[in-house]
Amino acid sequence: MPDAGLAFRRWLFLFLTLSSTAAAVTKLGSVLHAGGLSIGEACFLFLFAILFGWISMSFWLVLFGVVARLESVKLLPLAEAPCSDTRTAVLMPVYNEDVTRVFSGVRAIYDSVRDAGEDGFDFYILSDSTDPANWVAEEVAWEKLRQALPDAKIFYRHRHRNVGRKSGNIQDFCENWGSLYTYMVVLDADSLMTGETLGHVRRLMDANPRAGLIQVPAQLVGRHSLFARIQQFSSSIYGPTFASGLAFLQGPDGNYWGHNAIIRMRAFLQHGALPKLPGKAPFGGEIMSHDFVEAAFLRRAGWDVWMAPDLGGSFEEPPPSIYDYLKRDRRWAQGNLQHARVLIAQGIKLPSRLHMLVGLMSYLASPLWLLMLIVSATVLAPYRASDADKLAQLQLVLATLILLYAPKFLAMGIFLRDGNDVRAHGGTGAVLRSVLYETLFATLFAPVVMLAHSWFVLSILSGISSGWAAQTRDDRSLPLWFVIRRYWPHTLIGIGCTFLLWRFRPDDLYWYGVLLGGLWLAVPIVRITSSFSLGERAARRGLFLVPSETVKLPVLERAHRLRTAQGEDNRDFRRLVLDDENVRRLHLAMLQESLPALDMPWEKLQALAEAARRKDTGAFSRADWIALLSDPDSIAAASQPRI
Amino acid sequence: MDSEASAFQSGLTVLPFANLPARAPLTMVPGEIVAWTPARMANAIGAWMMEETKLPPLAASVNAPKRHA
Repeated sequence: MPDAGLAFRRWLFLFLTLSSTAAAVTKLGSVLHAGGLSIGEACFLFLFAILFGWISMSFWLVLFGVVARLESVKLLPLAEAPCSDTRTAVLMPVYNEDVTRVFSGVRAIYDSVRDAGEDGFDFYILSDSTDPANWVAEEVAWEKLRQALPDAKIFYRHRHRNVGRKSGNIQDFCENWGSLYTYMVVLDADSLMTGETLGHVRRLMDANPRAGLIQVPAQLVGRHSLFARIQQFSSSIYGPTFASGLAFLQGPDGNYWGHNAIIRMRAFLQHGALPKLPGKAPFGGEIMSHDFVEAAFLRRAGWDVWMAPDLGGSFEEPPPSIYDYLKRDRRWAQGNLQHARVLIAQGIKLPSRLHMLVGLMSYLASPLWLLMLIVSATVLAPYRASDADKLAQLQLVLATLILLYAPKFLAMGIFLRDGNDVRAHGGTGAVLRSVLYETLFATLFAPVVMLAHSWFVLSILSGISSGWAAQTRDDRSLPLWFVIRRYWPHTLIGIGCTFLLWRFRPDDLYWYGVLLGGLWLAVPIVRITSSFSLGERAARRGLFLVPSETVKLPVLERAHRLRTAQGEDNRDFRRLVLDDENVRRLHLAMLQESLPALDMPWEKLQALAEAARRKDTGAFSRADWIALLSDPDSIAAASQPRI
Repeated sequence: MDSEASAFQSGLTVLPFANLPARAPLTMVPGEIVAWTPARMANAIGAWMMEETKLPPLAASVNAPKRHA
């Protein structure tokens, strides 16, 4: 049972959200009802009620965050053990990632842990890479790291079949080595945590035996494209107030965001394994967004799940462009829609259901918004409003704008109270200008997201599953033709809607101006914001600055320096196994640790080995390379010198 | 350039091999996701009401001797 204060806050939050929604719906109802409510108007009212409820929820959430920060509420009300060396595994699951980035990150975290004087942390790079070049490159990078740090406990494991994707990868670790550890810290391939923060969360877990998981929200850092820098800035300015509001309301009923969290191994071993959902993808099969469900299972079993918004020392990188952001969103949309089946499962606690509902609504809101616009433009009969109706309309528009934009400005107001923080973001003037530009960008970006999310939801409901591609984690400016090929439908829809409105509802056209503007400008917005040089130029002018760019953060500096020092290595690591005796010895030694089951006929393997020996590998598929590099006999045969 | 960066570029010499700790295998049992059906919901509500009102289970009460007999 939540404590009385927490229960009061939740009831108050519910009351405020429902009452503000009810007030707006009543107001709109009175305007629409003037001439009797048609079916179209009823539909509009229904959609308006859902969407107004949705935005008022986030408004009140931020207001709770504002109160929490003004009152300096201790959002993680847990005791902390004075010291700890409890055995903890730090897990870095990887899937065809940039090898240099992964190992630089692990090394930087290891160094930070060592510098913080924390003992008892072991590191595991858990590879699910299916690209043979990545696989071998990871082995080589691990061996190099091992030579640089002979006493460090940094282990590498490659899984030959990525059953269950990331959650399967973690489960495989848990089933093989989990019982050796009391806690595990799960990272992502682009995430970093400081030694101090790792020490903190471990001491918190030590002192609170009911705590099953503590999530440390990650700050977005390390990218240079304009889009990424805007994301970094907005998460840095608004994020803490949002997170505070969430932590203030959820208490021990928190959520798990998939990485940068410490988890009690015993709790996870007993309750963290996920079932397959009956039926086929996209709604059946493996659970794609595993984190929410794992948190719900932990809560169902009685473990506390906390969020620690004030700890800091937790970082990840944003996607470099709108295209990459939306590509990731396609996968997340499917995962969140799949939660609809878990949301109604027996035994899940109400707050966990709400976490999943909010995730679901993050994607359903777009098609609902689109539908509401279509209904308003086509079904609602044009009518001549009285002066009283016009006033009511204006009040509703103003209320909507306040709910949409006030959270940003409230969060900024809270942020501006801290002089050090403001200086780390370039000063008050720079922050104000950046917030203004960010708000403009967010306004134009919203219709692009609306169309994209609507398409995602439609395609998912039509049974089209997204795969599991590796994420793009490098800055890249998108070529113009690439952007045009992908975003011309947005522009075309914008032009088409403008024409229809101009032709049939010219008086209403200005209501849709901003929306249509975002669609018209979709291509330039995506192209321009992907620009690396514009991102740099904005930084030089003091725009969208974040502390990682103005103040030295050792773990980020270290990771960046290591990565830069490594440079690019364009060698074909698959061939290195055959051509370089040392790499071959390393690879064979690692194969001995977990020999993969081969499913390729022996004759075909022999033929592959012979072709590889002749260096005739041009026609090899990825599966051919994987099979060849998984079989020690074939490697030996392929490495024989030509006679 | 960091020493660890140059190590690989000058060639790799594999040290005596020791990687993963010995496995301590166990099996994680997947959690259940059982959807509500009207019958299940009725059962759950019934069980909850029994619990709340502290009534004895129906089957036991039918043949139970009358309290004041």
